Amino acid sequence: MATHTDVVSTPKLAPDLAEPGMLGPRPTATHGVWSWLTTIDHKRIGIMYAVAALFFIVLGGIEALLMRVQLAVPNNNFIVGDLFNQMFTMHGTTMIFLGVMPLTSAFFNYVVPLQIGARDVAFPRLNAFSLWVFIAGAVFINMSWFLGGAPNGAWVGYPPITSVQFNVGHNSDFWAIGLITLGVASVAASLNFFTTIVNMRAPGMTLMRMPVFVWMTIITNVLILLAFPPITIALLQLIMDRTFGAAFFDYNKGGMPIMWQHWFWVFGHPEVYILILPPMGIVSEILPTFSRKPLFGYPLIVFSGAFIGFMGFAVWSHHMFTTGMGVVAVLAFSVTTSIIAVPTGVKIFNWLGTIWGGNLRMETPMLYALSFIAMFSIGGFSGIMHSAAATDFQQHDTYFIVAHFHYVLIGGAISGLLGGICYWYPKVTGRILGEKLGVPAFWLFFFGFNATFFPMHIVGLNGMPRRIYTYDSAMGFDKWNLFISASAFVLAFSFLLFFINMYWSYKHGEIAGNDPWDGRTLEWSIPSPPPVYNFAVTPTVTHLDDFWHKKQTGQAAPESDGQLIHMPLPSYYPLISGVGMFIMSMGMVYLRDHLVVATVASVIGFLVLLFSIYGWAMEGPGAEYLDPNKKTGAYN
Amino acid sequence: MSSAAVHSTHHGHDDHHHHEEYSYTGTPNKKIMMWAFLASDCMFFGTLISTYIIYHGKSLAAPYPVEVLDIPVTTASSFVLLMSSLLMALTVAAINRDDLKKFRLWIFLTCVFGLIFLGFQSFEFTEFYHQGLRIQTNLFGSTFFTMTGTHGLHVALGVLWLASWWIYSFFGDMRGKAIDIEVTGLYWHFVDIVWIVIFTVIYLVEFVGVGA
Amino acid sequence: MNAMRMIQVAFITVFLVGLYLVSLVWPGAMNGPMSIMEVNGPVAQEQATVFWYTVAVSSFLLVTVGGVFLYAIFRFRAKPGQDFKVPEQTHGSAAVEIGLIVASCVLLLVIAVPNARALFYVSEVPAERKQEAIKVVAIGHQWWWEFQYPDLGITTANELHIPIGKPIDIEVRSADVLHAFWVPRLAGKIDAIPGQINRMWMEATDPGKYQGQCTEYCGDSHANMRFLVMAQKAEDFDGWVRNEKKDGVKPKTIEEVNGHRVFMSGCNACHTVKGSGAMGTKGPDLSHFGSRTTLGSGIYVSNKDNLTNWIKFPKQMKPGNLMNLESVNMVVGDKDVKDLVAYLESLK
Ligand code: HEA
Ligand code: HEA
Ligand code: HEC
Ligand code: CUA
Ligand SMILES: [Cu+2]
Repeated sequence: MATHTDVVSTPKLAPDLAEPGMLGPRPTATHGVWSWLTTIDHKRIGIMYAVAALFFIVLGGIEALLMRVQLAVPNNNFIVGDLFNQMFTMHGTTMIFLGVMPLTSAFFNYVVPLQIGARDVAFPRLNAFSLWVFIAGAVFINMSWFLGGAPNGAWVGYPPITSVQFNVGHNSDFWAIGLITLGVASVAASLNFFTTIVNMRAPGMTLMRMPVFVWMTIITNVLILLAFPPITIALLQLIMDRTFGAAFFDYNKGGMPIMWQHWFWVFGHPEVYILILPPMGIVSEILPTFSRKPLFGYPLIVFSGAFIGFMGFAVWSHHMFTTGMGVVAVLAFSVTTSIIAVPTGVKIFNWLGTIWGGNLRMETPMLYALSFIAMFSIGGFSGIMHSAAATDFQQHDTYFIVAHFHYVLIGGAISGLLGGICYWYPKVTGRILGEKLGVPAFWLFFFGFNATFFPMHIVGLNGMPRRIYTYDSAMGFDKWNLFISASAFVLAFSFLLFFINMYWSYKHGEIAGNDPWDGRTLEWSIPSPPPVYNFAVTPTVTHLDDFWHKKQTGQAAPESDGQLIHMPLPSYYPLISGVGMFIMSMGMVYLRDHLVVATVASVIGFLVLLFSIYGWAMEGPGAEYLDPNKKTGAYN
Repeated sequence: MSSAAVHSTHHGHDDHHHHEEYSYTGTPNKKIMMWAFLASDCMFFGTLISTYIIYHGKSLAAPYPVEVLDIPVTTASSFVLLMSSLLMALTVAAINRDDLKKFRLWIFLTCVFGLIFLGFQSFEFTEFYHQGLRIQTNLFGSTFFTMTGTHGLHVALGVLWLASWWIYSFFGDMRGKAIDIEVTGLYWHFVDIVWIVIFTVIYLVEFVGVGA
Repeated sequence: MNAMRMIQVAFITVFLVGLYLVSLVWPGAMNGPMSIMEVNGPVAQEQATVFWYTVAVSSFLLVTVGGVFLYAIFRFRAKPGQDFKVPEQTHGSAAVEIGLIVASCVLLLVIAVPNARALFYVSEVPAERKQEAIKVVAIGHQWWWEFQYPDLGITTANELHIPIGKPIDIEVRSADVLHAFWVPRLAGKIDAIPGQINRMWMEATDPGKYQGQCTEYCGDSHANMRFLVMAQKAEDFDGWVRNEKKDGVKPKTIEEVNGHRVFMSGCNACHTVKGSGAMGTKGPDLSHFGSRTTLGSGIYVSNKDNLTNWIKFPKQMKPGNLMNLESVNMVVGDKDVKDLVAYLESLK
């Protein structure tokens, strides 16, 4: 009786009504464009990140080449004034936010779940959301080229040059709003990877059994979570200034332009570690595999990565030595900055320790990894030269800085990432990335890169400032600039070869098999390319470099026990939310001049976004059950 | 149907409840993500609040904070927001007991309190507007509206989220949703806590300043 | 095997080419007018010295770490036939790690100490020399420099005259966006920030013309915001000061008189010529323009042709140029331009 009244008086958790159901049907495409647009498979999302990122690297590279043509000879008239300024602003912005960051994201996506023995990331649809919002932001920023002019405030966007008083067009609106959109994508992705790594590791994979790449991923994502908010707020403040006449950076109203610089670099310096830590992780995977030795000093490599990330938040003002902070502040930041050399050195030394006594196989991944060590160190040394503030007063805003950061960014980050592509290409495509073209492409890259950027040290020390579209022939910059520009084309050609090789190998490359490199980590224990569900049986981890250990001790990979594998279903909503974000951003750009129309557009965009969020929540992750012994499922 | 029967009726394809994914730490994914998000959100508000503090007293034109801030009114609205946190805690407790009726009541009240807070805020904004404080007026206007506006947006989204749950609970399946409600609650508590900081920084500091 | 050969050859080549570049370049290639390596003043000298410390530390590391690196690559690369040999497995060594960490810290100290010393030296005119310092206020404008000597009552533009052997105490400000004041051969740079006053100092040991340039990105013509520092012997400097203090020369010839008349019909809205009635401040002070060697903030030689083009086509002469004659409804015919040029050149 009591039970009876209970049931009557307490509403049931589940309704008597039919389930509310979804706002529409779920996508069913298993092949073709729609299957990609609606996919939630981390591997496909990773591939799309990579393709988009490489596309934008080419775009940013072409922008660089155009600049190099202008700078090849003194007093040139190829691209002058504002157009040149748009060029370097977009080059820097594109390379960093649309090139290297998404490329690292591609690796997070593809590799991390495989390395931790997971079936997917923690939130597969959120993952697709990050991808589409990133695409939306990237396309949006580049729309500016066709809508009155691209951003032209440099990639650091210092006001007042980006304030509406000095930048009446919409250039900086596209930049600010676009970066916020990209920030949303990055933060969403980071939440996902953070959760994935914390929670989705295979049983037995303790923190100190995680591959170094996974470690660098989680550190990077923590950095993103903590570093993107300051710039997002600064961008919001800039937008407030530009759109509503707020006073944040308006010195006529008491605002301090210098405040922007602090917020920007509180983000900006961690950002450069966001760009370098993942490639460091990649290199830490390649070196042991190709030396056939465990990573030397694994715990130190891990801790130094964390320490670098932590210190990254304490050094931002080394970009502002010349802003008149006062000698004590300058000295303090000078010292904290130089301390970063210690943990970075620890990494370099341990990498040397790894190859020392090894049996080094000089295939392309290894070549890029070794190039990383060499080129990154040179870039690091010039970094240390800047960190000595007394002399940075001279170097600041010269090509000496440009040389530094291209060494760490291309010699470092891009080297590592290209190495990563060579390394995991067989896993992704099932075919080896050809060495015949790969090795020459590497050397061309190596020489082209050094020939392009080493002389920048020299012109820099000879006094050539950054961000100038022209210089006088009497300055002694001309010969070197011609040489640099010519070399930049060699470098570009090496990229071209690399891409041709990727395409060729995709069609004709040698079949790789599960484990072409005699790998150490879990991803090499499964087929190439991996099935949708990655692991037929979730592995149990007992050691660092577990797969290597199992191979050495003759343990076979566990057979499938025929249990069905539960996988979530694809969804339209992440894509739709990306579209919503795009419309919303477009509206916001024009708030200043067509208040009503622009507000309506933004609201429509927001409603699209809201619709997709509800649709998303209502449809749920969905489920299908795959039989690992049969070819079933969405795209098996 | 008895509630016991309800629990046994779900099938494999009914994903609302059944397969809470494998988790290494034992803490659900959603919760970990929310904590990470809140850490990030701390930085958002940290930046806004620091900007406010750095620009405090640097406005070149009136009205200045002391001239417009109405401490009693905002104390009242802050109290309302604090109470909503209590209600949120009751909401979570109710859903954890599978007490749907109480759950609906408490979550509804949480929403209402959130709305009251937003009402206070729009009242305050219009009031300031009439006293000549706009976002363009001076640094105080810019920092104040941007910071409290961002916070208000957080509250508004929170209300939307809570309201969605409330509505959903009438026709949707609430089994296994306790964790989602808990996550929503985490967010709501955070937004409240942030308000305490903002309230201190904007209002109390000014109040102390006036007293001295 | 073939690839191996290639790698060997390539590394050796890189090394040799690198050595070659450096040796070729070091003495000769960095002595341009804006070199930070060959300098003419104590501030820049101090900064260059710290640079050499950093070079020393880096070179040491390059040779030692680089040497170990190259050796390891050659020594331990897989030899043909032993591709699948598994070498001895090592995991790390606490002693080595600690040693290297300590060594790194020591190397950083080698830089940090001279750096700290230099920082204090370059940040302010040494106390015992404050008396003799010449005060200058440098104000950045899009895209030119205004120079004031508050103690001497002089205002000029784009060409800064200083006496050698004296500390120049510079206050740097901005009238619009960010700029940076930089004369590499005399001292490192400091930013010009609107709403903020920054200070630096410099001193020239040798007389001469030193090239300066704005180094903080400031818009369309950032590349064209250059200036000169004319370091003179004390007597020459004093002569220059005496002349600058005077009013602009009164027009004499018919052309000059007409030039002055045209000048007063619009140019005066933006330019000052002391004593002529023109008191605009949007553009550079032209009181003694005729005695300047450059035009358009150091991007052109000041001569008749350039000046004529400057007045006729300011936008073409300098992208984004804020010298906008339409804004004061000026349309100057060829004859008037000629007279303007004559007038301006007479302003010695
Ligand atoms: C991937 C990106 C990346 C990385 C990893 C770094 C790494 C470092 N950077 Fe760099 N930096 C940039 C990207 C990066 N930077 C960019 C993009 C800019 C310009 C932004 C702009 O203005 O547009 C910049 C600018 C920049 C400046 C400002 C210069 C100026 O504008 O005036 C400074 C100043 O201190 C600096 C310092 C450093 C230091 C000390 C490191 C250190 O982390 C380096 C540490 C590494 C080593 C030192 C080498 C290996 C170590 C050893 C072998 C051990 C022993 C070594 C010693 C004891 C010295 N960087
Ligand atoms: C990861 C980041 C990254 C990367 C990879 C690069 C890559 C390159 N950058 Fe970079 N650069 C920055 C980040 C980066 N840059 C940043 C942040 C700035 C500062 C911006 C600012 O001041 O605000 C900057 C500024 C900058 C300047 C200074 C501009 C100035 O101050 O005036 C220069 C000048 O030479 C330059 C050159 C180059 C060149 C030649 C490449 C080359 O490596 C590019 C080579 C790649 C390609 C060319 C693409 C591939 C090509 C093909 C597939 C072939 C097909 C196409 C053709 C042949 C046309 N860059
Ligand atoms: C709207 C304001 C304005 C008006 C009107 C104007 N100028 Fe200018 N002028 C400037 C500015 C600004 C500069 C600095 C441009 C630069 O170098 O970027 C300048 C620079 C110059 C210079 C070069 C100064 C130097 O030291 O390099 C000369 C000469 C000059 N103007 C002459 C004239 C003459 C002659 C007229 C009238 C026909 C005129 N200006 C009208 C604003 C103006
Ligand atoms: Cu002024 Cu650059
Ligand atoms: Cu930095």
